[in-house]
Amino acid sequence: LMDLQLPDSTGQEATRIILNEMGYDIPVIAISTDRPSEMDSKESLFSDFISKPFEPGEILRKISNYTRKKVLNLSYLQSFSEGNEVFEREILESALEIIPQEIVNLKLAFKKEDFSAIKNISHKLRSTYSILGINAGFILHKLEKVDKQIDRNTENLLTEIEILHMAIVQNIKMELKHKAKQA
Amino acid sequence: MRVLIVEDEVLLLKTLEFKLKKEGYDVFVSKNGLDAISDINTHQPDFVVTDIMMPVLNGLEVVSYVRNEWNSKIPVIVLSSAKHDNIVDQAMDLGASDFISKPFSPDELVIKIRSLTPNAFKQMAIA
Repeated sequence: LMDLQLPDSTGQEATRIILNEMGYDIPVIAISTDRPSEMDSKESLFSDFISKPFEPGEILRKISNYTRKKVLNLSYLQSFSEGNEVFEREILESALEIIPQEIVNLKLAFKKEDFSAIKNISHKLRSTYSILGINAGFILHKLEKVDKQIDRNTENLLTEIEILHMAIVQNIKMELKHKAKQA
Repeated sequence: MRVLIVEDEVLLLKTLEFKLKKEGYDVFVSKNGLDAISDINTHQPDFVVTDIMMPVLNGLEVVSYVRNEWNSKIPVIVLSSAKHDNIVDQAMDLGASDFISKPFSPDELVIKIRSLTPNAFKQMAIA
């Protein structure tokens, strides 16, 4: 994360040194009050940009776009598929639709403070996670406890789930790419 | 042998469908309890596997429908997370034949279903 308004050298210069001179091949996200003009150029040093002031959730979402956290574990699915690649692909492709959709549903349920909907979604997510081998019992435990009011803590939980789902989608896309290569 | 699977979570539904088809059953699926009621009448299943916690019409109501309205003794297996013991008790009281706790292994599922549908396997073996 590179603030562009630094006192001594500019963030642009520091980023150039890190990426070009030191040779690090890593994403750099610029933080600034104004969108840097070079963001629009293809040669931009920055992978992304966050404008100040930012919400805690926003920064976590942006970062999770560039982290390669492994959250998927297909061994449970494979115990059912017994090597059937067509079936595995079908499940992963369905998951690509379900995982973002449940975030939409969950956000709506939070907004409407519809606690019975939240309960239903958390119940469904338990099965979804279990098929995809996602270890998120603690998150589900917390989600199941959301039955009285929506406050800052529950909002943070929603962000946490959203970030998890972004990582799941990323993992699934990589897995599908990997499978396509093998086929 | 015809099985109806009632499950509102798509990945689990597809996984159950895949496994039971592979076992040689004719599989029908319903995405909620309400669909299940009409699907039972349409497909006349020889047994039912149903999730308990579903919106609109839950698995308890599916069990009750099979036993009372439909007046059938076919095996009905309920799926439930381990932490909902109380609901499993209710399902058994309503006449469910057995229950499977989620998450379950493929073997657990198959063994339980085979034990409740012994005739199916004689027939399949002969066929």
